[in-house]
Amino acid sequence: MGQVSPAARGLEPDILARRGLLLVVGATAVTGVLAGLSRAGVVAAWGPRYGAAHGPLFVLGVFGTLIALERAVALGRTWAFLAPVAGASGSVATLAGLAFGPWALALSAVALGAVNIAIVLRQPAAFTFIMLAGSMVLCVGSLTWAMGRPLPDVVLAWMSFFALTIAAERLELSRLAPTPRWASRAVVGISVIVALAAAAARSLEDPWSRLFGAALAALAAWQLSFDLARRTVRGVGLPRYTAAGVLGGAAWMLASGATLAFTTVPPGGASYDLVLHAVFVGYVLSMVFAHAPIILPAVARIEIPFTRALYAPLLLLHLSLLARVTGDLAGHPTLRRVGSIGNVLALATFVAVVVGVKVAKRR
Amino acid sequence: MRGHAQRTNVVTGERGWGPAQASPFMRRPRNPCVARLLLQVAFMSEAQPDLEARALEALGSVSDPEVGMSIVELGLVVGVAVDPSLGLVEAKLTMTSAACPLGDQIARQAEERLRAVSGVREARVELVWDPPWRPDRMSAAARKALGWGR
Repeated sequence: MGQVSPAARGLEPDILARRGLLLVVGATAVTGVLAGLSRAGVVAAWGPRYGAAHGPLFVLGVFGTLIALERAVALGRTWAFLAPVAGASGSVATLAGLAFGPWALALSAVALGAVNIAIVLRQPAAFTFIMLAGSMVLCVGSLTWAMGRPLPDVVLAWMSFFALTIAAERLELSRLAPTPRWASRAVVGISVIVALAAAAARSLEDPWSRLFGAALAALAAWQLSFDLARRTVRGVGLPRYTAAGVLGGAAWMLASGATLAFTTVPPGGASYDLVLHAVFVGYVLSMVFAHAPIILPAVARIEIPFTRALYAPLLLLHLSLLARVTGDLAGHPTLRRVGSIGNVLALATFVAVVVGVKVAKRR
Repeated sequence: MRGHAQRTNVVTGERGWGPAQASPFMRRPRNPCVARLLLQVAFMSEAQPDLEARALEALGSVSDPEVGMSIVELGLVVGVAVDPSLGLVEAKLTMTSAACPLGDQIARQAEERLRAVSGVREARVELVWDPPWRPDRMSAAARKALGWGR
């Protein structure tokens, strides 16, 4: 934070605490990336424990904790911050090899569930219920994972959390534009199927996982047809950039859902890599890039002035994912590896652009 | 004093009034007494419509970053009360989503813009969830821009 005292800079302790949390999330992302690279064979392997931590660190430690922080700020109650704090502590503990690490991560999912219940009580609406459903499935998946369920058997639950949470947010936003009533009802129905199929699927080979894939694809198709981003992408500046990230991400979710629906996805194979990373990188990370300039100022007062340079990491993200997925489909491990490295570069470029634009503004 | 109404302070989640515990993550609630006085003793003077118009204009400069439209156009401003003799403005805002973390930031921005208005010595902005937002709260211009027919 530098030599200037926080009080002199006008920063309140709660904002500092949130920034500290974001710092831990950032560090978790870095280690998660390294774990992923070790799985891809790009860096020297740290050992199976770290490689296996790649998924949980990103899903629960990074993305889940970020969403939990957003909801805690939205709810505005101190107890709600248990969710992101448990997520951050769980990441550190998991990396340190402490046994309670996965349990702390699972606890953050449970706490997030409680926060979502409070949000439903404040505003009972279709979208808050969908958000709650996604959170419940995350709870089930995370708790069973902490109890020892193999990772490939919980990935559908984890994917559904993001699909439903984001679908809920986008459904809420779609109220701003004239959306046909049948479309608003359809997305609720599709979301219910996503939640139920994700909860019912015992493994990726389960027939439920095909239904999940079809429903996921339907959700993505809904977004591509009715999302507010279709309108705001015709605007300028930040809203346009955000919309581009949203629509690009939805296209990847469609690819993931279709792959699950029409093909068999054995755990650990090439199509497994495709299905997971189309959602977690193509959809979730794209949404993070798209919304960081909106969320960071709101949550931690970290202003990110919009610059067109932000399109560069977004483009790199989608292009590198295209390479990775092509490598998966064509059975080219080198291309897949190149794509994975590209994903990491996109993330690094994003951080560089954000830091760069803040430094430039300070001058 | 009439009614400590059942209102929930969005910042802390506290019901009613009273100092909240200091916590590492949340700020203490703003003092509500001035706001209550304002709402109960609405001063009517020639200066009022003018200050109210300027206050509304200032609020119009705050926009929702996802949509790129002002909170006034989107119908997020529930009410504005002014007291020109004391230079006080109180605004009540709502959000379209209770799950959105932007509420606090938009409320703070609104307060900053209100304080910058000439004639305003103190500004308070409060987030409320009642009445819940509906699409027909948007202005005609906003509805047109977002593709609504008539």
